[in-house]
Amino acid sequence: MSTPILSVRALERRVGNTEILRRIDLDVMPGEAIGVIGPSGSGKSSLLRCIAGLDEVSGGAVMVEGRQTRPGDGAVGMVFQQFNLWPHLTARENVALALKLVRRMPAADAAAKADAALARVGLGALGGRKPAALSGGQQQRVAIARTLAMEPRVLLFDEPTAALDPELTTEVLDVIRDLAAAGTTMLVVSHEMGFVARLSTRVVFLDHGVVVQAAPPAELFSPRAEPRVRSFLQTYLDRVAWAREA
Amino acid sequence: MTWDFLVEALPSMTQATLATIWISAVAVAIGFVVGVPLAVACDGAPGWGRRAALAYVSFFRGVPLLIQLLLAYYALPFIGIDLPPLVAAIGTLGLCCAAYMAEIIRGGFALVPKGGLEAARLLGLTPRQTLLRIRLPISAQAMRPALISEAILIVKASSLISVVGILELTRSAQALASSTFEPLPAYALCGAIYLVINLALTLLARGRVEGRAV
Amino acid sequence: MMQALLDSFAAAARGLPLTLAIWGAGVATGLALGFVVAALRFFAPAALSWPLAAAVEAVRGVPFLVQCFLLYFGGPFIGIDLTPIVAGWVALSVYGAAYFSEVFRAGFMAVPPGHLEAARMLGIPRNQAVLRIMLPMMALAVLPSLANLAVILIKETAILSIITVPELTFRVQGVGSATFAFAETTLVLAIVYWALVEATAVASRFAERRIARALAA
Repeated sequence: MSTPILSVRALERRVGNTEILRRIDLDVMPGEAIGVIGPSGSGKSSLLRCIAGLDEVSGGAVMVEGRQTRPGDGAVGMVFQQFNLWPHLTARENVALALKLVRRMPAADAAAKADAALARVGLGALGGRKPAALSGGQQQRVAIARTLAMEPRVLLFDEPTAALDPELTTEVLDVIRDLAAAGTTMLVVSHEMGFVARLSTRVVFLDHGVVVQAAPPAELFSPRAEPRVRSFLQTYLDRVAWAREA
Repeated sequence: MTWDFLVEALPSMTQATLATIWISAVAVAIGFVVGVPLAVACDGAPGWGRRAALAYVSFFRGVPLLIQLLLAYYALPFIGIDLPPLVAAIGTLGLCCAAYMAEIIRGGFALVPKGGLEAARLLGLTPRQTLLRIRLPISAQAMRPALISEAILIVKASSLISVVGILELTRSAQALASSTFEPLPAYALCGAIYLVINLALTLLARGRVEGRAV
Repeated sequence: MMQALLDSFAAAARGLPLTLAIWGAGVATGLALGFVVAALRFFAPAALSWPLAAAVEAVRGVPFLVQCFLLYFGGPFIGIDLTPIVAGWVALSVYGAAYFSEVFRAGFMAVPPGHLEAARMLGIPRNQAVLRIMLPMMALAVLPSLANLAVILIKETAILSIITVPELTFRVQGVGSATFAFAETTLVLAIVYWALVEATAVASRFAERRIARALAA
């Protein structure tokens, strides 16, 4: 049995009197892809932001390879719903900036590595474009390349396709799937249930800041799942079915 | 206005124009360099730093520049700081400019999406790197019109340093008015030169913005 | 030193009424003139609005001090012979009007044309629509900028001391020339103006809220 690459221990987050996360425990093994699902407001994004160190935790700990993380230490990379690319820099510069400033790479090496990362997400030819000249899907792939280039131990995806038009989601999901297949350890918050089911080694269902169930997708997306999970998935499926009929 | 007047005016007013331009440029540069940390402190965590920055802005925006210049000229020597008049004048102009710049820069910073800064933090950029490489460049485009307006205000405000005897446009116009006994053309010429400088600044701002848009 | 400070404050108290009077008068005329200029530029034909635009640019592009010199020292050569106080009032009004007019113009342009079109479709005459729909909407939008400019103009009144208007700065500097206690007198000037500007800023924010509420009600 290998040791977990990421362990979340009794993680709590409170804002004022509101409990957003209540004693979350989670161990992630190297190469695992964890899908995180749940109703909106259940704490999915907060969980990711706490793991990244962007949100203050009220209790517990997040460890990557046995060490407490803090933002910018390179252990954790995050891809945001809104891409958060820097609009004044080209795609290549977006990827290369942290390599130069944080990794102290010479400019030429950083640019080469940026191009390699862009090629990996299928954007090898578009490095010279500014974000405004890219489609949403392409922007998100640049954001993935930017995170990837820093070689984080764990990659977090916070609803990576929620801000995209439906026809642009596939290109982003394909990239994430390729990364998972290559053995990247990741946590993915997403409402794309089919995608989560096929991608994940395990799926975590979060509700009101509590892990209701964490299980392989075959188990979680089945009639044997916890009642609360089933009712969430049922309303979700109803909505999809309704949308399809309409 | 006669030919004689122009012959008398041209050399001194040309020199004075250059003086006004470089004095304003230095003041604006000081204003920006001091304005950036000031803006950061004003928006920073509550504490002494922020209180001091806010007091700075309030003082330099609340006291007429004329009085600030007199303070630098009379009160600084009184407490043992004896600066050459030109240094005191440009310094005051620059520090005053910084208070206004800080407000403009704060406004620009407010337009930078928080997510871009979070991404920088996660990727390991230091606060300083984030400021210089992310926040300032992203907000620069939005701040440009306000910064040019501020530069124009500084060119105009620099006329006040004539009061402490620095030979720039306004002071030279005064000298010209008294030597030629023709204050009307002297001050009209002086005003026209200010106008040309400021129109040039306006055009520069517009040209830049349009050049970027292409 | 104490005496110099006391004398300066006393002189400031003697000069304050004129500072406030010339400021109040300048703001009032400036607002009126600025509004007329903005309205002409917005509604009048281009032949009239173009020269007005040039005039506004000219006033905004030249230092206030130079305008004061031009009027006070240059004026007599073309038959405009004003006392310092009147010259100061005129200069402040013109300077303020140029800036006020820009704010009013932005206010005119900020009113969505749809509102006037709606009034037109309902058969409301244009002048009524301007008076009852455009102006109230505009007033809300321009109030903060107008108040801000008015506060800025207080500081400009200090410059009038240079053309010997016996206002606050002039009186207090008089104490300096008599006693050579320039450091003290300047310090008092700084304190008095700072307090004056802060107080006016607070008062204007208060007035702004009151007026906004009255207009919204």
